[in-house]
This record gives sequence, C-alpha cells and structure tokens, in this order.
Amino acid sequence: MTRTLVIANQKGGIGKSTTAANIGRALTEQGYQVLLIDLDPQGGLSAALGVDSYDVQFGSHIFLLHDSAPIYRVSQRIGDNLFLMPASLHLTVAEIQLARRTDAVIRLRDALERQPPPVDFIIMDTPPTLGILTANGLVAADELIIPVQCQYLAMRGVRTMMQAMQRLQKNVNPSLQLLGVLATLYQAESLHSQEALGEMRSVFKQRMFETVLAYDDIMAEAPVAGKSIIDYAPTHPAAHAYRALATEIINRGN
Amino acid sequence: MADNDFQRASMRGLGKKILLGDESVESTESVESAAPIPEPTPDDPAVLKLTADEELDLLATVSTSISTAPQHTAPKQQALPPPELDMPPVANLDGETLPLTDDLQSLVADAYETADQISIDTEAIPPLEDESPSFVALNPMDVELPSEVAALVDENFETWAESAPSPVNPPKSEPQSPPIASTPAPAERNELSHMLPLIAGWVVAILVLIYQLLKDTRRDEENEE
Repeated sequence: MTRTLVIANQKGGIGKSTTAANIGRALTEQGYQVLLIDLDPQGGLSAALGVDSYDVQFGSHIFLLHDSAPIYRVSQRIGDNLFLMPASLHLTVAEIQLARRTDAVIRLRDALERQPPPVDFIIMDTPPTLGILTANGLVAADELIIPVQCQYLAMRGVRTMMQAMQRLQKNVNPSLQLLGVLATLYQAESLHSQEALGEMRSVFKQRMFETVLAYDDIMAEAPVAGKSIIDYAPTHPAAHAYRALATEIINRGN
Repeated sequence: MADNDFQRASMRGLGKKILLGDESVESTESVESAAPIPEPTPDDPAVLKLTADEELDLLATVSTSISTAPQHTAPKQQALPPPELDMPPVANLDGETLPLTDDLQSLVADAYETADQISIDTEAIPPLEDESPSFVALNPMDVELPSEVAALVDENFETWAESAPSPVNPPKSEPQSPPIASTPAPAERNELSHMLPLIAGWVVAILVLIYQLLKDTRRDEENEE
C-alpha cells in the first residue's frame, strides 16, 4: 500500500525541503519507489534535487489545477526509483486560483486518487505557511511529519500545526495521523538547543523521532550541487542520519 | 562585555506550554538561578565615591529640592452633568436598551438601511482566464511538447505504466482509467468548435447555389416556351 507522507510546519528555514529530499532518497536506497511532490512555490525540494523551479513548465501547479493532467507528464525521474513532481513559480498563482474553488483543499487528494502513482511512498513538501497548498498536502496525506528546529521561537509554531492537524482530522481527513516530530538543526554544543530537544522529548515522548538532525553546512552545500546529501556525501553523518530516519519511518508504518 | 551580565532564560519545564499552549503549566524554572550578584566593593568603578564634605553637600541639595518642590494635590474633579434619562431608548443587539439622541438614532437607522443594500459585486471579480493568460495557457493538453522532449518524458516514465504495484505494496485504490481517455482532449474540442461555423457557411453556400441553378433552369424553360 502506498504511504502518503506530508512534511509541514509553518516555520520556514527549518529543513523541511532538505528532509523531504533526503528521506525520499534514503528510501530508494532500501528499494522503495518514491514520488516527491513539491508544493512550495519557492521550490526548495526541487532545487535540492537539481530542478530549477524557474524553468519548470509542468509541475504540481498543473496537477492541482487541471483534472486531465497526466501525472507522468507533470513529474520527472530524478534517480532510480525516485520521481519528482517539481514546483514552479506559477504555484503562487495556482494558489490564488484555487482559493476561488469550493474544492480548493481536496484537489491534490482527488487527483492522486484518480491517478494513483505506482510507488511505495509519496512524500510532499509544503510551503512555510498554513495556506491552501499546505492544506492540500495535509488532506492528501495519511501521515504527518513535523520538523522542528531545536529553538524556542521555532517550537512555538508546533501548537498551530497540531491544531491544524486536529481540525483537518475532524472535518476533512480523518485518516491523518502524526507520524512523528523531527528535531532539526540541533546544535550539540548549545545549552538552549539541548533544552529545546529535552522539552520536545518530554512532551511528545514516543512521537519524537529518535533520529535528530544536527546542524551542518553540508545541508546548504548539497543543494548547490543539485544533489541529496546521500548522493553528495554518502558517508557524511548527515547522510547516515537520514538513512536512520528513513528506517524509523519504515518501521513506524509496520 | 562580561559573560554573565544577564540571567539566562531557560526552557526547562515549559515544553508543554510552548509546544501545545497548555496554560496550566507553570514555569518553575523559567529563569535559571544564576550566580548571585556580587556586592559592590570599594574598588568597583561603578561605585560612586564621595568624601564626607561631598556627602553633606549632596544631602543639603536633596533636602532643599524636596522642600521647594511643588505640592502635588489631586486635581479637583469637575462636576459632570447629570445623565439625561428621558432620552428615547433604542434596543441594541443584546436586547438591552441604550439611551440615544435623535441624531444617533437616525444614524443607526441609516446604517441599517445601508447595510441591507450592500451586496457583493461578483462581476468585479475577473474570471480565471482573464487573470493570467500565460498561466492558463499552460494546460499540458493544449501545449505541444517537442517530439524529442515528449519521447524523453515517455521513456522516463514507461516504467510507471509497466510497473504494477507489488502484492506487498498494492496501490491505495484500484487504478482508474485516465479521464482523458473517456473525454476528447481540449485541443480536439477547440478544433471542432472552430470548424462548426465553417461547415455551416459551406452548407448555406451550396444551398444558395442549388437554389440559383433551379431558378435559372426554370427561367430558361419559361423562355423556351
């Protein structure tokens, strides 16, 4: 059965796109087929995998707006078993057009149900807002990953995210579950970072992923090369961390 | 700047409040107990050093300032006019009554009347097509891909069509036939709609020709007779 994951948090710059790209890549290493869907008009996920959102003609905006858009036409093969439905700058206009439709937040879910891709995982990256595009991701998904930077201001946004999830569970998508809260940009030498991680673990307990993604320049460098960290620096601790995270995700689904 | 010139704010015990907004959680260690602030020493440059004479002068100056300072007294409250209780009451939204003057009443009445007339001008909202033609034109069914690009895309994704989900990982639901298979493509529909006036024109022209031929034939026959 295809598992549909969404990575969301309205706080920006906390590693959503990097996480989506590298989880996807790590899953393919374990033999799974993965479709990544970039719902962020900034195209961070697309850029992280070498696709420039400024050049994207066929992408998630087409899939959201046009019922007849074939999924294979709006997606690209990025690697073995790894496919990407990239984001275009037109996604911003698409969001405005979607806002006028009564089915605005269920467009993606319906489109994926009409054309279910033959993959094991669909992973969606969302913009750092709680707008229509993020809502589409939350409605289309069964499992939610909330990355949280180990920092006070970043942690404050989790509450809104949890409330959004609960509302959607109640009204639109009862199958949506919190797969886990993921600590990102952790700085081991920082007392503040240690406290933040400790508090998150004390609140979310087993819902926290054991894997903690530490801050490292490699996360900024790999997108410059248009590669996932796993391809860019396969033996780097960050690459191993994403592999461990992928294993956790697999195990939590069993 | 000294390293410890502030008390470090700690998040210990605040996780639930920060992450879930649970106001019942009280901060017990919101401010970590830092090292006690040391008592100032005579050598501390922050301590003001005065001689005995300077201290006496300072005391005298302060005493004089206090004695000559204007006395602060509470300002007298001006007597407010008594409320006019004979104003006509107007029911507010909660069903209570508020005294309003005639002017205010007429203002309120006008506001209610105006509110009834307000309506949303839907025509002012531009249709989707008018907003961004360049974007609307991006319908993949309307855009012809260069043959080499289309071939590349199809080649890349041929496995999608072939690779049926494994029994271990069946798809979420039964794959449905693509909607485009059952309905004509927009491009085809557009072509047909453009052809209709042309076909109608030709039909009319042929009918006119036939009519003219019949008319001429009849006239020739009449002339011969």
